[in-house]
Order: sequence, then structure tokens, then C-alpha cells
Amino acid sequence: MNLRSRLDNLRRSGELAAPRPRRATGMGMLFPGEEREVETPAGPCYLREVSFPLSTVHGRYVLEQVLDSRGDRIALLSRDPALERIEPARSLFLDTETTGLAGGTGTWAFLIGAGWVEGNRFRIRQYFLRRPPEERAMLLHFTGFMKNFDSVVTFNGKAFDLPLIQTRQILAGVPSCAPPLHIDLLSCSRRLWKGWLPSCRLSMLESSLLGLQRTDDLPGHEIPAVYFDYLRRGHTGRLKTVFRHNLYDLLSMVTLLTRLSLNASGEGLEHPWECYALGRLHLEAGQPETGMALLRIAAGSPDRELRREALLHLAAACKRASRWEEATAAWHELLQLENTDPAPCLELAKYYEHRCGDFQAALRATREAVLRLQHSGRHASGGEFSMAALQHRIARLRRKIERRDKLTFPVK
Amino acid sequence: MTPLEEILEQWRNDPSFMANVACWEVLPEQAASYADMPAFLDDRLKRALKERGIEQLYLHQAEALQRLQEKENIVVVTPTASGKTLCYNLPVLNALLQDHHHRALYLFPTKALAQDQLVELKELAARCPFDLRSYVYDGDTEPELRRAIRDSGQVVITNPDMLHTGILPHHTKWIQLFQNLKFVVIDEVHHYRGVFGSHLANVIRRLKRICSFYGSRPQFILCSATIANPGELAETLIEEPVSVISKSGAPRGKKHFIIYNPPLVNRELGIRRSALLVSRELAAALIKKGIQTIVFTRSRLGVEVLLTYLQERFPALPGRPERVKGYRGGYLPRERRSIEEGLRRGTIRGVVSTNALELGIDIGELEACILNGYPGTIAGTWQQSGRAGRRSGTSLAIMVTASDPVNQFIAANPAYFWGNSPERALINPDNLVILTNHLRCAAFELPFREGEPFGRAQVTEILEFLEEEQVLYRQEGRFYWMEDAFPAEEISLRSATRENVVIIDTSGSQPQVIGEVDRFSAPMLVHEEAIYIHNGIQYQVEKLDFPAKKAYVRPVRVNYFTDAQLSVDIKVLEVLEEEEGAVSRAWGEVRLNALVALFKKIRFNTHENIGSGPVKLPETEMHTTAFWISFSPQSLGGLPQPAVQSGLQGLTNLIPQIASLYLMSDPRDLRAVGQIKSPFNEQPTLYLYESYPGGVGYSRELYRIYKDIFRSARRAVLSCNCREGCPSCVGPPEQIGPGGKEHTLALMEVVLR
Repeated sequence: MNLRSRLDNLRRSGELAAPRPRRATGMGMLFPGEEREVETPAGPCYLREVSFPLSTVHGRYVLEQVLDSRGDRIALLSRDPALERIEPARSLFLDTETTGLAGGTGTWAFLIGAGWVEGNRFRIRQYFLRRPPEERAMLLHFTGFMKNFDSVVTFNGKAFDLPLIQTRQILAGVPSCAPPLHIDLLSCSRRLWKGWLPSCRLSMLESSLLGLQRTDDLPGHEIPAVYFDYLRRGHTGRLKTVFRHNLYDLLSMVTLLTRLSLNASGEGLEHPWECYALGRLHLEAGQPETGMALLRIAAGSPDRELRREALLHLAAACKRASRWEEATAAWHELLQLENTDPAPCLELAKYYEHRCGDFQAALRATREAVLRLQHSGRHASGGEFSMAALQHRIARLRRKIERRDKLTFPVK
Repeated sequence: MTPLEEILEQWRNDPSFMANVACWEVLPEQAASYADMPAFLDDRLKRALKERGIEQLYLHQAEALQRLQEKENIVVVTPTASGKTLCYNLPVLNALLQDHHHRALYLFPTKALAQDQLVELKELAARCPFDLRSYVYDGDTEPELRRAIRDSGQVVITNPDMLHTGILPHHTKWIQLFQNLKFVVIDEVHHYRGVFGSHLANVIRRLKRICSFYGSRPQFILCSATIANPGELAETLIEEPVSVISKSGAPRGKKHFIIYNPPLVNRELGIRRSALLVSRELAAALIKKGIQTIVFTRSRLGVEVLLTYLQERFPALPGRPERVKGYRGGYLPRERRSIEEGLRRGTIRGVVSTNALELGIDIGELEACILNGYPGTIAGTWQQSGRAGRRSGTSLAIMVTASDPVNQFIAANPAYFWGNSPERALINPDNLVILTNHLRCAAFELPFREGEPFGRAQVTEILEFLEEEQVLYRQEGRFYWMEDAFPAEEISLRSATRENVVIIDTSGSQPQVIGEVDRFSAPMLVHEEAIYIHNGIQYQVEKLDFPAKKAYVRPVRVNYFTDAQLSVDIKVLEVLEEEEGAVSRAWGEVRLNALVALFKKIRFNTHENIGSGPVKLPETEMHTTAFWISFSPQSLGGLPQPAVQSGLQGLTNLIPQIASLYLMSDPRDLRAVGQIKSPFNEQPTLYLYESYPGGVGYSRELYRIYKDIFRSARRAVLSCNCREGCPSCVGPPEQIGPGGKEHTLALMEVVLR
């Protein structure tokens, strides 16, 4: 019994899976007028090019607005000072379509979409892997092209697209280029909108913020099957949809960048959470005035949880800047908001003790902290919030009060 | 006289103790054999060793270094605590001292070993001094550290599963490692046998393929416990010539080795006093006298039971830690170090554990070791008993045998232990299911050219098969992986197919997976109402969702076990070797169809049938290899049919157990079926088939050594004290019928004629 029949036996019993019928493959003409073949030292590869005037409207924004995006605003959102010196709009926008999300050496990028501003147009080039043997040619051409840009813009490219491209380059023996500066729109979006929007998937951002609603699109998880279908059975119908999906992604990335830059400049903010997030980013970046101003706005939110967070950070920032009036006002507001957190009480106690010399008030505040700790039922983590530390503080305040009373009312 | 020597003297003079002693061997002292430090060893290393008190190397260490210097692959087969670690740490550090771009990959089967080896290696490097970058890379490694390890780790310590799913399929992230790989170290190589070894051989094929892509060709340094075929196993694993280094130059103190068989409490039924109770008493006696003792049990439940008793008996002193500690799998290095400390200081007097490998390299030198039950292999026995032993001075290892056939065979035939090991580790890297699955992984890693071999296997037909299965895409003479999947994650290195039934314990707050069984055996082992035992704990199957491959169980405590009535249809597809005669034998490829329609509930000890129930599950099919032996009418000489039937039943109970002694297999790896009139040749036939689809090499080996197995089986039956049969030999009389023992013996005689 030869190997072939043994394999067939295994297939029949279910120990190895069953096959599906195969048919001829072929590509034909997908995008007449837009597609062409380019030559490389490793042979030919396929690409398709389109362009849009910058005056094109894409959802709520015009493509042209991206020219106003500012490096320093994007650097703030990305927490990456190196981005300050770039013009974000001069970056290469990059988005790939792949044969799966698992990563590793068996995942292919079969479509590499690249977009950039040139003159008064936004140009898009889509490299497509017609046949796996063409990958080296495709990567050679793309890598050479990418060298023209100092920075790239992606959506989740830091974790996915760029490592994948690097892997493909290594496997194909194409020298990989040093990664230029990288703006990952997904991480920027998360920082700004995670507390407000249910998710930061591109589709969610499109519908909630960018004024876009896709029609006749296909869900991401179906994309690999479309490529396999083309490769094995020569079906190109849905392939065009994938190209279109990729194109749309790139255009959305442009308007997303516009939006992020605007918001980070304080414009077009729609929700107090954005103020809160920006406020904290500014504080982190060493810009306390702007930070506090934004947190003040967030502290006026009807959302209790947000108000609480904003007040906490605002109070801490005011304290650092020695803005005592504002800090204490914030702490008092926090006390009204809810009654389980001992933190505001403790802050006030410290303020009364060290800043005002009002030990009675400090004692009252500390006792309140103890009550809260007891009622909250939470086991306080160590440090100054532990019951022991609070009791210690009470004891110390009592001693101070006694001493002062003795001085004011000496015993005869 | 030391306290230990006193106790031994006491036991020797106690007739009631000696009555249960199956054997008492004394292994004499052995002095060390040294060789000079090789000239090619870097001076810094020589100095580091000198600081540790090592001026010369043991013979086997020097030989290992020499052969590696001559560009050979080696397998070092010396006992525990013989300094095997230096056989690989020295060449690796030597290479790194000369060129710090070199890289090495270490594979260990447990985390404990991996972590201890890391410490050992770093210590040696630090003495040189050399700022070595070595790390453990496994599931527990922090994400922040992983990148640094990939880019600059000089020695990467990992395990086969991590290599399989975490490293090879992401090889582009490991360029530094693969471009500069000089040595691959694989420890405990005898552990990689059967299915696991067959998988590892293929993982190594993938590893070598990737090395070749990046231009490196590492040397292999393997370490094995004593088995009959270390060279063969090593060469099959790495598909290259390997030199065997087996003469140990390490010194050894005097060692007493006792096999103790608990006495019978019910002769008829063959019931003996519980081995656990006996182990308990022995441990208590030793610990009471201040002798530091380690006890190995076969299940976690055994550890708990023994620990509870011993901790009650020897309670913790006020302000001091417990005197008897239990070892559980997955202990952190910190915990192991604290036990070591305790042993050194004398505050810890006893340790209870399931497995020698879980202990890491070295928890110190204990004086006495108790094995509760035979560990399953001779190699394992030496490994466990090797935990007791000093470089000089007396030590003791005592094995208390349990009542199953394998244990009782050992007790009745201690000669099995001494002399050359009959244990052969067998693997079959070309098992079709395993090979095909790894070919998926390999194609995921790098495309295949038409005609390209995979290790020594010719795989074009399999590649074409995978193309039809629509996971590979062929164009211009290459096969590319084209599928939205990550094949390595679908393959477990310990099972043969991807089709296992997962066993889920629903009793806790969260359902928890406690184990798995292969699809083919599932109707037999986890049908609804079946009693399933895992780690010594009984579970009952409440629901089996066969299409979803999930079995839901709950812990129970009952006084019976269940036995599924399996009707197996065997069809011989191809005979690979045969010998005709009065008694004919053959081995080859078979197809099995199994149907379970009924199960019985059998009470413990008495083996009464106390109930039964239906099983409504579909027939399952499996392709594997089998060995069979048939009796011609002439050979049976008029033995009546019921006798033949009963004898065949006895053989199906006993032979797989005895065979496991020779094949180093788990008794479940091999199953037996007796047919009074086999459709194949119309003769009474005993089939022994492998539980894993495709087989891992047992059938061919059985064909070769069947006579040895039958001889040992006969000895086991003859030395058993029961009258009609019992679970310790051919099976209980209720099952095999009256005179079962006699009938089984009769058939064995026929085979051995």
C-alpha cells in the first residue's frame, strides 16, 4: 500500500481533513487604465494607482485639511517627542491586507496600500501579489519606494503591519529598511477616545467621528478567503472589493489624522472625556497650564466617574503648582461626589496641617478618612492609606493640639 | 555506624521485614576516574573551574569535550549527579569566550530544570568572568524581556513546546540566534520517546531546515539516562551520526537498593497491603532517626496523603518551618532554594514528590529515597533513586512495589533490573499523521521546493496532499503556505492527532480542563457515567458532547470502577513482515473500528459486577500498526474452545503490561484484542495494536522480541500466588473464567515451544 492510499485512508476516517475541488487560476484585467506591471531586478510585479484631488470630501472632512495637521500635536498624542519636527501630512500612509491575523512566518501581505500627498492630489498605490513567486519583486519595489519618506502613518502598524512587512522582507531576502518615524493612529485614538467610545476599531471611529458609513464593504475576517479564492480558483469578483476596502481605509486614515490633530489642538472636541485625556497628556508633557485648563472642563462633566477622575488629577496638578485655593475646592467637590474614597480627606488633612496650621480641621479630615476606610470595606493597600498610618496621623495631630493648648492656656 | 547503617542492620536482622524483601543489592563504592583539562579550554574557564575546586575533569567529561572539538555530535549516557552539565556548559562557554557572537539553544522538559540550569550556567560564567547573556524563554517570560532575548540572548533556554509554537514559526524575529547557532543541547533525551519523541524529531527537522536557511549548522549535545539504545534514539532524533559516551568517571558512595513487596492480605483475590501505607511506615522510621529522606509517589493524591500523615507525625516546631515538605509541579526557584536550604541546615527532614524532573538539578544530597510504586521504567527508577546518594558514604534506595502486574513482575524478577537494560526508547518520526502535521508547520515557516526532502523523509506526495487540502498553494515548483491559520497551535506534541476529547471538571467556580483522551478511545474511557481517574482522583463523566469533543466530569468517591465493553473490528490493510508456522506472527497496518455499546460497574478488590448501563456513541475508526500472533489448530493440540477463549482473555490482560516494560511505553499506549476466530485467517489470534494513529514503532519491535515478552509473562504468572487468576497477573476469575490462569499458561507454552 503506497503513501497515497495511506493518506486517502486517513482522510476518509477523519484523522486528516478532506480536500475541496480545485480549478484554474488567472487574473485578467481588474482595473483597466489604473494597473500596470513594473520591472525589478527580481522580475515584474503588479500595482494599481489612483489619485484624488485634495478637494475631495471624505465624510466630515476634506482631504486637504490634513495639510494643517501639526507634528507637535501628534507628538503629544503619540507620547513621542521625536515626531514634533515632522509634517504629518508628508508621511507615507500605509495599510496592508493579509492572509490572516496570526502573524508569524506563514502570514502574507498580499496587498500593500500606500498613500501620500503629492502636489494638490492624494495619490494611492496598491501593490498586489498576483502569485507568491512574485513577492520578492513586489517587496523590492515597495522597499525602494518607501525610502522616499521619513515617516509612516498606520492604523495598528506598530504591532502588526510593519513587523509583518519586515518578516516578509527577511524571508524574501530583501534588505529591510530602518523603520522611519511612525505615527500609529490606533494608539493615538485609544489615548483620546478609549474612555468614551465603545471601541476604537476603524469602523467605529468612521461612524462616530468621521461621518463615514461604508456600503457594500466586506468584514475583515473574510478578506483572507477572498485572496485564497482568487489564487486557487481564479475568482476576481470579490477581489475588487478588497482593493476598494483598502483604498477606503487609507482615505479614512487621512481624515482620522486630520481629526486627531484638530482635537489635540483643542478644536472640535465633542466629549468631556477628550478634555480629560488631553489634559493628562499635557500634564505628562510638562504643560501644566493647558493641562489644568482641560481638566477643569472635564471636571464639569455630568458623568460622575469622569468628573471624579478629572478632579483627582486636577487637584494633584494644582497642588504641584501650589494653587491651593483651586486644589482645596477640588478636594471638597470630591468629598461631595462620593463617600468611600479616603484620598481627598487625606489630602485636605495634609493641607490643613502643613499649609494652614489648623490641626483641628486636619484631625476632623483624618477621622473622616478613617470612617471612609472602614465603610468602604476595601482593604487599604499599605502606605499612607493603611489604618495604621491613619491612626498614627491622628495620634500625632492630637499631640500637636495638646501642645498648642498648653501654650495658649498654660496650667497654673 | 551512621543512623542509616543502624537501621539497615536492624532491618537485616528482622525476619518479618526480610520476608517481604524481594531483593537487596549493595552497589559498591566507585572511585573517580580523571583526565587532564583539555588544552583547548580557555584559560578563564580553567580558572573558573579551579575556583570551584575542579582541577581535573572526569573521564566522560573530557571525552565529551574532545569529541565536540572534533566536530562530532554526542550523547552522554551517565548516571544522575555525574556532572553531565559540564559536558555542555563547558563547550558552550568556551565557544562564547572565543567569539561572543556564537549562540546556543538549550532544551529541557521541565521549567524546574530550565531555571536551575540557568543559575548554574550564569554562576560558571560569572567566575571566568564573562558577562553572559542567557535567559529562559518560555510561556512565563515577561513580554518586555522577550525582544531583548531574541535580539541578543547568547544562550536561550527553552522547552520543546515553546520551540514548536513560539520560536520556529516566528523565526524571522530570531535571526541572531539562527544565523549564529553553534550548539543545540537536549537534556533527558530518553524522555522523548513514543509519540512525544516522534513529534520532537520533526520539530528538530524544522529547526535544522531553518538553520540551513540562515546558513548555520549546529552541533548537537544530548544527555540521556541509561537505556538499551541511546545511540539509536539520538541518531533517529537528529538524523545525523552521534557518538555515545557512556563510561562514567564520577565517584559514587556505597548504595543499598531494596525492592520491598508488601505482604498478601488476601491470597485468593491477590490483594496485598497498600504500598502507600508501607511507604508511610518506612518513611516515618527513617525520618524519626534523623535520616533525610525523599519519597516519590506516582500521583499527586499520593503526595497529599503521604504529606498529611508525615506532617502530622513530625509537626513543625514552634517558630520553625515544616519538617516535611511536599513538592508540587511548577514550584518557583525561590521555593526550591528554600527547600534546599532547609535540607542543608537540617530543618527539613523529608520531601515528598511525584517526579524527579520537577526537582530541578539539585536539591542537595539526601541519604534515603523511597519509591512508592515502580516509576514505570528502569531509567526512571535510577533517576529517582539517584536523588539519594553521596559522593562518599552510604545511601539507601527502597522501592515498594504496588499490586499491578508490572510491579509484581518486578518484585518477582529483580534480575530484570540488573545487567543490561532491556528498555529501548522507540520513536517513529515518519508516522504519517505526525509527519503531515509537522509538514504543515514547516511549510508555514518556509516554502518547500518540489522534491525537497524533510529530514530523511521524502514528502512530495504529502505536499501534494496538502495542496489538495487547500492549505498549500503550488506554483513554479514551490509549495507555499496559503491558509488563514497558525498550524503549530493546533498540534500538541504529546498526542498524535488534533482530534482529542477534552476533559472538563465542572465542579469548581470555573470549568477547568484536566486532561484529554484521543478520539478513538473516548467512547471507551469517557462515556457518560464512566469513572475516570486523573492524578489519583476519581471523576464521573456527567455528559459527553462527542461532536464538540468535550467530556464534562465531576469528582466523586465511589467504591467501583467502570469497564466499557468494547467490540473492536480489526481489518489488516497491509502485512509488513510475517512468519508462518504452527504459531504464526506478523505486524503491519490495520484499520480498527471500535464500538462501545455497554459498560459494567466493577467493585474494587472483589471485582463483583454491581451494575451496567448502555452507551450510545457512534463507531470510531483508527488507522495504526499492530502485531498479531495466531494459533493453528495443530499447535493447540485439542485444547477445547472455552479454554482457548479464556487463555486469550488472560493474554489480552497481561501481555500489554509486560510489553510496556520492554517498550518503555505507558501501558495505555498498547491495547490488546483476542479473537477466537480471526476473519483474517480463521485462527484464534491475539492482536496488540498501538493506541496512536500510524503507530510509533512498537509493533515492529514486538514482532522482533515477542518471545522475550512471553517468557517474562510466563514468569509473572508462575510466580503469582493466586490460584485461578487475579488482577496482578492474568485478570480476575470473574472475567477470564475458571482455570483462566492455567489456560493462559497453556497458550504461552505453545508460543514458546
